[in-house]
Amino acid sequence: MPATKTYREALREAIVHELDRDESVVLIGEDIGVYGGTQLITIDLLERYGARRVIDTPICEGGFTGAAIGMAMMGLRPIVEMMTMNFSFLAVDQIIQNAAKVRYFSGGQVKVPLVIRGPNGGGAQLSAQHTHSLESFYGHFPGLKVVAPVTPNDAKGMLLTAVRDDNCVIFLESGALYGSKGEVDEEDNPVPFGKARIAREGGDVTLISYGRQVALCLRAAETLAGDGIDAEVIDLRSLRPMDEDAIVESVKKTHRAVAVQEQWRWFGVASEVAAIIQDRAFDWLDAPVERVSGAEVPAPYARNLELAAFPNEQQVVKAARRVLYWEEK
Amino acid sequence: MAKTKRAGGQADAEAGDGRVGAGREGLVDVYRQMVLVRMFEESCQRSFRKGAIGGYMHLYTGEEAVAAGFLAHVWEGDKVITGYRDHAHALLLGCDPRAVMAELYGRRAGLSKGKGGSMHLFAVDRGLWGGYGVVGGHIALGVGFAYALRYQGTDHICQLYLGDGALQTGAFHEAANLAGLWGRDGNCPVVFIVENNQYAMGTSVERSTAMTDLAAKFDAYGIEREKVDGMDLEAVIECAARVTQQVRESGKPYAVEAVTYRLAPHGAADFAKYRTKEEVAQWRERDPIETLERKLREAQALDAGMIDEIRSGVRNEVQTAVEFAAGSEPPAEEELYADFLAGADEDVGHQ
Amino acid sequence: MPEVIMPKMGDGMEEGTLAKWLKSEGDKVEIDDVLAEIETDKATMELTAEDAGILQEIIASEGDDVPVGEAIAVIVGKGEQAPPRREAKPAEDSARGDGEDQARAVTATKVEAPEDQQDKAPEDEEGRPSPAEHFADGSGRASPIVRRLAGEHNIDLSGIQGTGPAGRIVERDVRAALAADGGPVEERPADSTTASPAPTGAPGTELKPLSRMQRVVGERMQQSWQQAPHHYATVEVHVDELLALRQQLNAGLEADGIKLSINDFVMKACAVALRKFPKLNSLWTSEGIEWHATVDLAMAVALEDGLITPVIKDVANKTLSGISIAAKELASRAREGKLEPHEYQGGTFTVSNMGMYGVESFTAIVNPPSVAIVAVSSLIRRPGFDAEDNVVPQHTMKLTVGSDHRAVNGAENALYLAELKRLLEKPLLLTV
Repeated sequence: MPATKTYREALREAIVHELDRDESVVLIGEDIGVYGGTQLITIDLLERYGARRVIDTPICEGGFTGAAIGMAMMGLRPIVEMMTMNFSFLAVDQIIQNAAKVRYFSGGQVKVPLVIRGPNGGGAQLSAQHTHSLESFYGHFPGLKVVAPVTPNDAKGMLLTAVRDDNCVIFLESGALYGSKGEVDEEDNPVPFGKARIAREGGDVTLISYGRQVALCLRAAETLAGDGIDAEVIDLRSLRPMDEDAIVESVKKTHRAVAVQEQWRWFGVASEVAAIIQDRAFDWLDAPVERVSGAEVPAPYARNLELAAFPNEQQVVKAARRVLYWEEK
Repeated sequence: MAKTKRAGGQADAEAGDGRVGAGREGLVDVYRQMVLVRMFEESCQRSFRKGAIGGYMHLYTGEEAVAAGFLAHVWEGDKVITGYRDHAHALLLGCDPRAVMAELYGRRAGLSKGKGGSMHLFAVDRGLWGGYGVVGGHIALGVGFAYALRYQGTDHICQLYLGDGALQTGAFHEAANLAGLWGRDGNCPVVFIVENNQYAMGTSVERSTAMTDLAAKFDAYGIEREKVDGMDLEAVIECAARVTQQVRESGKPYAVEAVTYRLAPHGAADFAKYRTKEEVAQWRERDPIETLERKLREAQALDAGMIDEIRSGVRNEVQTAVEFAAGSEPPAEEELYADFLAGADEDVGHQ
Repeated sequence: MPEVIMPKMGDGMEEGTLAKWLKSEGDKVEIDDVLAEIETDKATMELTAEDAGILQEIIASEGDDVPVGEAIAVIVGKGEQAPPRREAKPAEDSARGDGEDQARAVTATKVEAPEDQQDKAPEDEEGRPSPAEHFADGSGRASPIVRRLAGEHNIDLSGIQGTGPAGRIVERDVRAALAADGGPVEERPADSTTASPAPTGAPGTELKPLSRMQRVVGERMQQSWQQAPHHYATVEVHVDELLALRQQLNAGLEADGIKLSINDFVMKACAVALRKFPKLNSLWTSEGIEWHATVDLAMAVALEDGLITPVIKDVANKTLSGISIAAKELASRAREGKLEPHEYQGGTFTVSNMGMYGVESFTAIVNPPSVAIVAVSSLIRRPGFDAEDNVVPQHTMKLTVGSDHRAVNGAENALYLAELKRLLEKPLLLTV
């Protein structure tokens, strides 16, 4: 039975569910216990599960992520909270050099069932060092799974899947959407990785996105509808593995595609999407795939500049009109 | 806590009480293992120069007493983790030298199925949880191992080997801080074994830190520590016996700085500009194997005949390993995507 | 069939120069035969064959620098099938590409193929012309779906005028051609031209492809006309008072550079009248009729090649001079093609004025998704009756309201028209 919950509540519900279900699940991170979590995702969990399972750490992303990887290799299922994904840069050596590949270079002798979760992407005026969308960074490395749910139901369902996965999952939360609401399945209903969600059906152009840009695409689709353009919106939600079939099937139907991402364009997910389309749906294309991305600068502080640096609805609309040859480049 | 017995290493047979140090026969066996490590490494060097071993390779020559002493005190269920200078640890944990050599040759029959190479030897069934290639990068893993071992209600411990170079990395300080913190509540049974071989590649300890008392660095994190002469097997064995027992009982971390010397080059070869021949010669006089051999002969536990027998036996063993590795198959190309993702995704391809 | 590769002939060698071929294509080759001389930065060495067979193809020419490991020739053994030749890059690419591409294409085409291979090149197994051949002169371009459709329906793309950038033939073009041929029209029609006959191409005709704007306007008008049942009502408005007031106001506003037009009064009146008849100020949506409290009035502006309807926001609450300024500004930018989408989207009601063309009356097509439009005709001076039934000269103007009958019924239309007439004949009401 679904109930309306916030994205934040949905995440917490999944964590509680897994802590109750499996003794090997532990939480580790900065200020997740006594403080209750910067985003209050883990509030009251220390009281409920004790300090052995809800491990407050000093400020040392590399240290506690490495320790969590070690715990995972021993058979625990740690959920690491990054206060923000921006701080995961400090743990990159651990994540890439150990979590992503120790199974491989050990010849399959170990596994790392680990979740690294935290807010990803821009917020409001967080400025350069606290504004990153790290999906293609992590998505680049074989051995990691990368997901980015945008609805509360997916937040819960994909976190259930992440905890049960035997590999390291980078769980990118839409930091700007913790308070957003949606219907959330009350049951133990994991959402599988590698399956995109069709957020809106349409026949003229496919808008492909994930994370909070999905909401942007839905708004753009409404605007386009005013012009009689019927846009399909795909929420990838799982970036590695990526649901190539969903993208390809949609483009075979619409013949036009716009890939939208908050991160920078170069080496981004949108480029990967464009490559998949040209690879598998080339003969169905009526126009080159458009990409809408963030501005190629570090995130500025001033609100007007920041908004100019993030993709906006108008850019998506224009890109869609361009692939329909309604507007010139 | 479930009590476990000690591991079935090669020293096992002679050591009924689970300790090696007391009996002379036990020491002779450890002597044999140290000779194996030495000859194995010398053989690796030859194979590398021939081009049969690729990539990076780091030899343990000169440091044998450190790992030999501590690994004599590994119990079944204990976890061992180390850096890239890991051949000795695999051999001393009882891994088949043929499988170790096959790994260095990049063969399917290698310890890590030819996927890891010299720096990434794994034998988790024998307690070897890896050699790691990034200096300092494995330390936090070992701390995590220790936490998990207590969380799971066992009395196992983690033996965590690291070099003098690793002590200067930020990764070490973060991990040591966590170990001290968790150990306060008895939740982190880890022994830090600092193999201080005097050089981080070509940079000496003196050129790496103004505070050259490496053991004392652990004071900053509330971790008990001591130094041991890493060229003296008996000293190491005594230390290891005491320390591992203490950590097993307390659940608190402990650090031992074993002062030793790398007689081999850093990698398979180096230009040796960073140290003098005289310095190497001085340390060679303290060669741990020759020192042990002399002591055992003085105690009449060894004689020339026994030594010849041991050495020729080991030589054959190493030769067999090389022949096995050279003659065995590389991994099949279908193995490229094997051993990659775990669980339901085991057979998933490139994505 | 083994490839001959540029071998690594020494440490650190990354590429070698093909100094000389000692065998030619078609020559028989035995193992250890010297095939060529390779020059490295250190020496010139002989390259011997590792396989026996026929030297089927020479890939690297003399003087070429070839990276280690890359194929320089192909040897075909006994009983082996000769591989398809490496084809030259499509000329299209070289025409568009940078200098490097061109150079590569040129060297590739220099390779002479044996005759039996040559004629196989540019057709695929179904015998349809390949894009490379079709666009050999680099003139035409087509999107992939177009090539696919052309293949499936056996259409000759050379007869189709592309409407995409640089004349690219895009899906709508080929669908139009398909429809003209009476072929199946799959999926949704791409635009209004799809159901039309093919151009006759007769002497004395000239084909003008639709501009983007023509296409959009056409589609929207077609959609409105087909989907919205229109009905119309016309009224004659006496505008002498309005003209007098306008003259008076303009005299006062001259210093400010403002000159009110009759249309400004009409737009104001339309908006004020809508306060009493909000039904006409609404949008036809997928889920019902959406009434709007604010009148955002779309104003039809004719352009050389189309039509656009910039929107003046909240006209009911603007003064006449405010409307006048906004209308002039929008119209002039509309003619320059400089309107932003938000400036021509979101209208709730439309006014179309053809007064300047001397039309006596006309009807206009509703501008979806809004549901009503007022057509304003020319000012006419003619004899009429005054209050005492004397024949006097009078100025009149006809207004025609067109409505979407799904949203507005006839009586409502008529009542609205009456209110509009009342306001324009008592124009002082528009100034308060």
